[in-house]
Amino acid sequence: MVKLKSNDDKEFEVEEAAVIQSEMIKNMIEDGCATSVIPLPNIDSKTLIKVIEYLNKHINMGKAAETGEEDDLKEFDEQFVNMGWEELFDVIMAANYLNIHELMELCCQSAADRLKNKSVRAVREMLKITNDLTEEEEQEIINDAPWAFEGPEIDDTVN
Amino acid sequence: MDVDGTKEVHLQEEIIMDILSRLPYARARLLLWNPSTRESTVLPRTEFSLTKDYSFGLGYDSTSDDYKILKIDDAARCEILALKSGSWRKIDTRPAGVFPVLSDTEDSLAFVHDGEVLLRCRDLECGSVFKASKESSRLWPQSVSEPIQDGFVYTETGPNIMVIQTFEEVPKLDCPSNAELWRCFLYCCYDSLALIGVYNYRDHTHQLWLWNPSTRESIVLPGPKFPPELFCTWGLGYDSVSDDYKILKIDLKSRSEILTLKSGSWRLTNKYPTDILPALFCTDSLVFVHGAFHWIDEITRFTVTALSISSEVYTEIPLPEQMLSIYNQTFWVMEDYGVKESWTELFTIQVAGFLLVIPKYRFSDGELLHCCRDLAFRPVFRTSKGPLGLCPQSNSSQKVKRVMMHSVPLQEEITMEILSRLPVQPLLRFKCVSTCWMTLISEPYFTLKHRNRAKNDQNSQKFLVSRKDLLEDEFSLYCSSLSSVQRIEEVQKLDCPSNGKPWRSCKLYCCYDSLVLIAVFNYCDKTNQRLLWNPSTRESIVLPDQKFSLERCWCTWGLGYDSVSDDYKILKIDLESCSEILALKSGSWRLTNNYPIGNRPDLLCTESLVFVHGAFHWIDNISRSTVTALSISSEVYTEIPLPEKMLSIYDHKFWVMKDYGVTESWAELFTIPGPDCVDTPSNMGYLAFVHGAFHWVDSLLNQSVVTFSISDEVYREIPLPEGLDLVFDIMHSKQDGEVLLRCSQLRRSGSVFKTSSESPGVWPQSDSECIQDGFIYTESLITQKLLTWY
Repeated sequence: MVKLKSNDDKEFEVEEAAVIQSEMIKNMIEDGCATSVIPLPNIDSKTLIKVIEYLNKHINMGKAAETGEEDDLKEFDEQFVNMGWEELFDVIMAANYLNIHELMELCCQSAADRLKNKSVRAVREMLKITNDLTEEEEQEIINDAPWAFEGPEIDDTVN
Repeated sequence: MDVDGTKEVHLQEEIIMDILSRLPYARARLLLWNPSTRESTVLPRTEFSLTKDYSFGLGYDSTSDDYKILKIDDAARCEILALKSGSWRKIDTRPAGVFPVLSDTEDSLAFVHDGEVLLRCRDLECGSVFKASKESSRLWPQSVSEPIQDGFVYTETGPNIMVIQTFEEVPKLDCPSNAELWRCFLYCCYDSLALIGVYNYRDHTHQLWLWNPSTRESIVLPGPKFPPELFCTWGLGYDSVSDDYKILKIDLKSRSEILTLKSGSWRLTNKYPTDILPALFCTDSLVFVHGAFHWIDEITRFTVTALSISSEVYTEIPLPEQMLSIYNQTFWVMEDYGVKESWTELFTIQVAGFLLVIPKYRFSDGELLHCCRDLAFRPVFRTSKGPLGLCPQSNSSQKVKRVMMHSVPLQEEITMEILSRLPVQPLLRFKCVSTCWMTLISEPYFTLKHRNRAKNDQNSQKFLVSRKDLLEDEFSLYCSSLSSVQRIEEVQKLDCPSNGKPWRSCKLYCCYDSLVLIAVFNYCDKTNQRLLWNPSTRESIVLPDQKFSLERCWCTWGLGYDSVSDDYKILKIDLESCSEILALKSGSWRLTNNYPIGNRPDLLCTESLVFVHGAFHWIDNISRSTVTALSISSEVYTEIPLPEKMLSIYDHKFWVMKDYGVTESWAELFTIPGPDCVDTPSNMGYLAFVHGAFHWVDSLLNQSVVTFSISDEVYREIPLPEGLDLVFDIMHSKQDGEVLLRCSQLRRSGSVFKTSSESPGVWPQSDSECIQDGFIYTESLITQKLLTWY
């Protein structure tokens, strides 16, 4: 068992087999730096619980293919990314920090899928980005590729 | 605050203003800090809230014998704080409409500019513009003796540090206009000179400057031979033997080149130890001490490589074994240069949450200033026991994090991770989201990252066809997604890249990566134009006309990428075995030399030249059974003999060359079973290698596709629908085993593209059209403009 500590000082016990999906912690264990509690100063307990949930589910990824649990895992992944933007970014940051490749892949793909058909205005609102381009600059970008701004699939709603 | 000349200079050199903008979106505290005494004072709150982009200046006013701090924000509001007065006051003499360009990011900025606060205001009034550098990460004064009166001092602004420089007074620097997008990289410093790179996003040009910030003089350096790769590291040093400054550049491929200022041109350094890959990620810039450049070579081997600046000889300095545990943030010092036994441990520091800690400067009392790279690889400057607290304290840091999350929802790399998964169309649209996104999407690094991901992504593979409408006698180009090749609504009509001129017909020659070589026949002047076209971004360039070969001769084209010269090259060979090559950067065609005499390329077997292993390949002289290869970088012809048994080409046997270039490794892979194959030599073209498996049509009349996976060596059969026409080629196979086929129908001209599943034809979609050709390309942002990256 490996003990992880979130930045709000909560400790979690995770099986080593699960936690080594994180390249960062795997390296720490291999170097003998993980004898006591591993502090994770960038991750709060709420996010860490999500990450551990993922790690525990994906613990036997290799076996899943043999036992036909692939669909089950796929369904879990679909459910897993079904969360709010803010929560999703927290998990992405944590996955990036802990270097969990599969989780990073899953969450970034989900974020990309959500953005894919959105209009510029919707993206700004969804990600709380302030537009700092001048009207001329904006027009210039549009003129470069007007076809990228047209099409029935472009969705102006925020969700 | 002594007005006495020498002391004043001393203070100006040493004083560092540290602005704790760790809370840029909540309440920031400003501190004035003297790193020599480790004393700091809390400054009063500014009147305007700390908005997104703002900048500070600190200077000494000898008239009032006072330090003054200037703050400008992106709304061009100026405030000044005279330390003695103790309160901020507004300066509103600035003309309206002039806005300082402080930054193109959401991060806070800081700069220090001694003694020139008021002058800077005047500059602004005159319409001068502050330019911000986003990427700078070096600490400016790398030696105490450096007489920087115009010092840039790097201040800590929480997790993200930004350094800005003012360039308005640098002579010769072609300062881009306000709207111009550009970025400046500080590569390294030595003595009083700094090496900087300026990259312009508009025209994708990159220039190298050597700059003396004290005198503000600068010269433009010649460009290195190898274009700046994604990761290369620079070193600047002074060679006392030849009395010259030298600049060294090494990249990840351990190609190292050197520029001596007096000679004015780059040349390769010799004898770089082979098989060593420099660990450039550990080094910000090459360390120049004891007349040699130093860097860590291959972190696992634990040696430091040194290149002497005068003799240009490489030496290796071993590191002590105790240093092997890299997770300890321990600093070591080699007390006697070159003596391994003199390595001593300095001290260990606790810096949690950083990827990398790079020592920058050692104060005379032994304390260390170092640059930490946070998870986002952004630098944070700290001292080994600075007064401001090295590690974020848990309570406050958590609060900071929450605040940051709301106003800066995504760090740049995470944004990049997510954006690199998007198709080209939304990417072009999202350039409009903000300056930051626009910069990010335009960056060559992003383009390459996106391309590399797209190459392996099934959804990024697009199918491009050229179509002729028989009723209207009109040509048109369409692209469709391959993953849903049957869904008509995914099909997009593309405008032919013809520079606005009316055109009559076009022909697709070949395709590599994301670029397509296409010929367009202009209606008005009845001329042919060849273009290199990226169908995803719809950008194209017109290629120069061929010089040597005859226009009407039957010819075949090949397109490939030469990684040595970082250039795309186009090869054209014709039946007269006249071959010419166009390197895009050179912009003109030239003959390739030494084409093997007596060979006649068998062009009828090859649709377009095959580009693998950095060489174009085609079958030469089918009776002699050789494959000719032309290396794209060296332009040397080689012949790959075919085994004698292969001579009987009517056998329908498939051969594979297991080790590229080794004749003995030709092995018979399989023979097409079935007696009823149509006997033409072009059956060679039936074989396709996709997704780690060979695919071929089992029997033209039996209608099934057989795949042979080379990893598990298993044959599989994919049945085809009945009544399918003659199959020419296998274009593509999907992971679920569905295959896209190119067929021919007896009752119509042109090609028919179909999938192996039970579905009506994909192309053509109506009886009145004739499909001429089709290619698979990878959707990406790659442009020919990228080639002018250097």
